[in-house]
Amino acid sequence: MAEWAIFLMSLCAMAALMLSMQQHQRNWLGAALSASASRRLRFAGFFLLVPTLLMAIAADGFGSGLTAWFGWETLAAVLIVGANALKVRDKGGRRK
Amino acid sequence: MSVLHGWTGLIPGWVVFVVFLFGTVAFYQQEISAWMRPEIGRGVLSQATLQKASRLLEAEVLPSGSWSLSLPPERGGEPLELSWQATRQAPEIRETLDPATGRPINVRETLGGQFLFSFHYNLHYMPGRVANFLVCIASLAMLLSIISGVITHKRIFKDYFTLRLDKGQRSWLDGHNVMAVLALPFHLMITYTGLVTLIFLIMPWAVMAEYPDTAAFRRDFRPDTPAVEASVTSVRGATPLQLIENARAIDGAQPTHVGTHKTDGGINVIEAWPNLHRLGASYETMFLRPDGTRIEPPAVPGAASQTMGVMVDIHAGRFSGYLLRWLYFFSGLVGTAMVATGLILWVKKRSSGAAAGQANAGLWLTERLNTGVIAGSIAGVAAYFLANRLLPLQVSGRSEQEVAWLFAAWAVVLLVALLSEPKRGWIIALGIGAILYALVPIVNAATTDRGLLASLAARDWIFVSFDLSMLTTSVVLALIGWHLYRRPQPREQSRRASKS
Repeated sequence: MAEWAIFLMSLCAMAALMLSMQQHQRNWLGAALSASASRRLRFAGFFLLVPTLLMAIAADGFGSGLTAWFGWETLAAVLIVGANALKVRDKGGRRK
Repeated sequence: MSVLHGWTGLIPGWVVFVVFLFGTVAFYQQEISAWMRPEIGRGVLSQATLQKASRLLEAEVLPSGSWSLSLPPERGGEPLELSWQATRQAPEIRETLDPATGRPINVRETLGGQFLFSFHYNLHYMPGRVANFLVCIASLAMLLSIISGVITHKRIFKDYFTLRLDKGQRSWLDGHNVMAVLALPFHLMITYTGLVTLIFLIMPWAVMAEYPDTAAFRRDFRPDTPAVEASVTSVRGATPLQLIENARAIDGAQPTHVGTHKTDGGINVIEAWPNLHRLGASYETMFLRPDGTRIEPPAVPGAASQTMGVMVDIHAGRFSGYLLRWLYFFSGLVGTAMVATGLILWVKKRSSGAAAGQANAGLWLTERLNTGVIAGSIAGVAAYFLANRLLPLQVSGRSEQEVAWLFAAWAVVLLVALLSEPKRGWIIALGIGAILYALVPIVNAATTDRGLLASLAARDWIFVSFDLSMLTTSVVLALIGWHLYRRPQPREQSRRASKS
């Protein structure tokens, strides 16, 4: 249960971090966001990482929890990168 | 720095790839062993089985004979093994029991997951020392590659989420970067702690300065013979079951092996091996008097030794539960893919620079060796599993033959890669891999009564996960091959990408 929460929140965090970058905003939202909106997204992304780390440590203890946390973040980031890559490719295909 | 990264990456890169691939697979060595020994039934070690084994030994050998009892690890993969000698002259008798039911079983001869694990640092067909040394050099180069890679990669944060597909060389670079950066903590941890496991090989000087020979050092580092008072022979013996309980009480976990300790003086001492599947477990053998009381160890391990132990535990994920083990495995796969993309990128970068037809011999060979090593070793693992099911059970040297199948399949793929034009080589090599992996669950279902459907019905998740992993690997290899087959001219695309 805690693992699902960690995983889903990590996904949200990584998605927010990705969307805080201009190059990705164009792909996903059609246009770049304002600088302050980007900053808020970046802040939200980093902020979400804090509870995931705390939950992982609470669930597994400091050592194992921290180790698992790195694993969850890697998994979440790889999934976001995959989604992003497919999105970019699909858009490119449609433009042709 | 870029040149350094390129060359420290390529030369030992093939060794690193193999180490990463087999090391990643080895996170599941116990589960693989369970699959490769289908005679061992489902379920964990039961107290009834332990009692049965204990009574058997009491009847056969106690109090004067020698005996040993090997307990299966919690994650399974090994049977309960007993052996005993009633007197010094008597022949040794062995008995293998099913951990759950306690029934005698005949387990096929195989190295199981243990071989895949040991291959990732001992390699094969060469002396262990030489292999360790090669793996050490490769790991050092890997550490250097990681650090120089981070320095070379200037847009580490800007490109954090960037993977551009279908763009030739650019895509390979993106993929390599993404896989390196996203699992960077894992890569650093696994490479560094991996080096720590071989620390005495790469940094032997402190030991050389203090000890005249390695045997003396080993005696101090892991003393294996206790100083025993001679009177212990006369004390009343405990049953094996009580000895296991006592060892568990001392160590906090079930021992993996309990038995009489062979000493020159014929003194009757019991040894118990600690359970290593924990973080920071003691590596020292425990010694007990026959009545089960502990013989205090001559010295407790020092801080440096304990630190090393913990690092090795972290490397092997020994403490991992079910989910953390999947995360380790996943990160390992990312690392394996990072090395593979790095190797491929090395070729792409240089072949897009050189005009077509002007490719040099080094590039020609590197390109084909990439296919042979990457696709070959992957296909070899499937052949190893197939051999486990297809070789006759009674054939002599069976476990070594299974290993030979692994390398035979690898050699075939290497040969195909060397003889064909690169793209064609990749497609055939990946095709061979896809077919071999797809065959594993089929052959398993045909040769045992523990096929995928039967395992699903029995809720035997180890066998279900194993078969599904084989099918997934097959599909992934087939998809990559299909993608390559459909793509018209990769060279053309990569040139376009490098111009833009």
